[in-house]
Amino acid sequence: MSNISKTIAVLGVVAGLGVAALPLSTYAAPTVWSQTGGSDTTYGSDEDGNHFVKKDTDIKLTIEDVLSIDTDATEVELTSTDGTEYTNAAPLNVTVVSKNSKGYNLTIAGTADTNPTSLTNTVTSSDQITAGAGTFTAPAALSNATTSEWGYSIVGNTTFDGGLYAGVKPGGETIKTSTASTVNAGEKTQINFAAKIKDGQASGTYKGKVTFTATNNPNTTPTPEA
Amino acid sequence: MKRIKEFCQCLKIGVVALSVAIANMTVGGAVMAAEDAPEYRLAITPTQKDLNTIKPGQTYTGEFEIRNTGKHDFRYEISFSPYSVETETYEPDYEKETKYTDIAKWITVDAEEGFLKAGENVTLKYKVDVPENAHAGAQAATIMVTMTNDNEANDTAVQTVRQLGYLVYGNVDGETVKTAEILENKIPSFLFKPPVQATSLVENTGNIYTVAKYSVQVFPLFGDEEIYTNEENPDGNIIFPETRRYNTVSWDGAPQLGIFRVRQTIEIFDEKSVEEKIVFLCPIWFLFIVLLLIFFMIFWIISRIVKRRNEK
Repeated sequence: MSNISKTIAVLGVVAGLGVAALPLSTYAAPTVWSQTGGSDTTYGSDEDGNHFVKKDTDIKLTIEDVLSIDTDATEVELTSTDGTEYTNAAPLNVTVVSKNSKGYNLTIAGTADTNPTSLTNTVTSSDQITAGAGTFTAPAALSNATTSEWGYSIVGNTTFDGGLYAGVKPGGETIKTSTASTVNAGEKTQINFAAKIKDGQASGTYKGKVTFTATNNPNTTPTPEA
Repeated sequence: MKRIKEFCQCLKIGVVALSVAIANMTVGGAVMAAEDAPEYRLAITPTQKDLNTIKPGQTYTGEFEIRNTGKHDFRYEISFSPYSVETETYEPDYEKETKYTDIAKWITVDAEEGFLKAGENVTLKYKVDVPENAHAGAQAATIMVTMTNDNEANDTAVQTVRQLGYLVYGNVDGETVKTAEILENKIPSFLFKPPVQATSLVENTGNIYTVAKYSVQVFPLFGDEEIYTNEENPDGNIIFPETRRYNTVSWDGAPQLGIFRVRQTIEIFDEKSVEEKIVFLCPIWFLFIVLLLIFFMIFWIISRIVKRRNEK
């Protein structure tokens, strides 16, 4: 038997076994040849004439519709070694638990009291580090050409690769969309923050605020319209 | 005899190869770690209320629970935001005010702030007072529960605030428009692995929200006995007016290999769309083996032809 023939035989056996598995993919339900009884009780007989009685019993379990959110820090400090590039030491973890079968959305918004999207000097409110021009869908590198800028990036999201950041928006941006319920431990979104400071930025403490909002997707059945 | 022995050897190799391939079809499973309470965690239950049809001049009430499931106490505040959606994946917008978000101004609660110790819960009651002159159509808003915290950092810092939204929506009775379009109803023809997923895109062109229903039936290639169906409990999606929503229905129990007829039926208001396709499920390794087999058979046939010609 030539080598090619052997190869064909081996492949043929494998393919044949795979095709033979095809009929096994069809599910065969037990056949009831005659059936009487109420909605939860079935009296019948199968093709061999064997009689049977079946009674259905409902088993009910309720899982609460719960939504929760936590972050592993109430504030993120940005530090620098060169006075120009500021970053956080470790990513911020935002964990959402949702039992909604349609999933949830997580948004981030700039919500500081004075200048919602900026980091503002605590002494002189006109001194600001403004939000970067990038967005969640189109992040950009932070610039310090004319003003200092800050922004966020999402760990594991390749759109932010290469040191790109998005600036927070007052109306918020969705940073995570889920279409199914989460596991009990929740779903974690990791976020980094950074700032790039211009030459001549006034010294002082700059503070800002971001709000993470989670809501479940709409998922109830209204009364059918007449 | 020699040929029989060689054939048996090939058969053994083939069975082993198939066994290894099947063993490599792993079924994913979730590993759930034991949960440790975080420092601060805000929770609400339930998470939304469908008021269904609401009438001008009427008042509707509801309640939900706010929970502190973290290790520390916290303060919370209540506020009200419009709720609308953007894009086909229904990304929320809590800022935009439209004719469908007036309900944010109709809601009041029994307490607009509070304090919860770790492990404590509180029930928040709310009221929706629908004005007499409310226009007909859908209304949606969010009751925001915001966990407040004090900023104690001395250095440049970004304060992080956690907030959960409880959705409230209903259809104000009156002159309503119930029209929609089913823009897409798709079933893939070829898949390398399960599940089988049927997708769709519907648009609500009316002025009230409704539920679009998606049912999927799976039959063998020949025959009408259903292998799978969700007809008794079809998938449903709330579709708000003047929005499009994308949806996916999955048959998660599909085998690794098989040929099926898959039918998806979509219904919204009076619109109905039915799409049926033959779906071929084939793991990529099996496809590779079949193609390789075909290639070698063609090569063998050609080499036999060439050999015979040379012998002549």
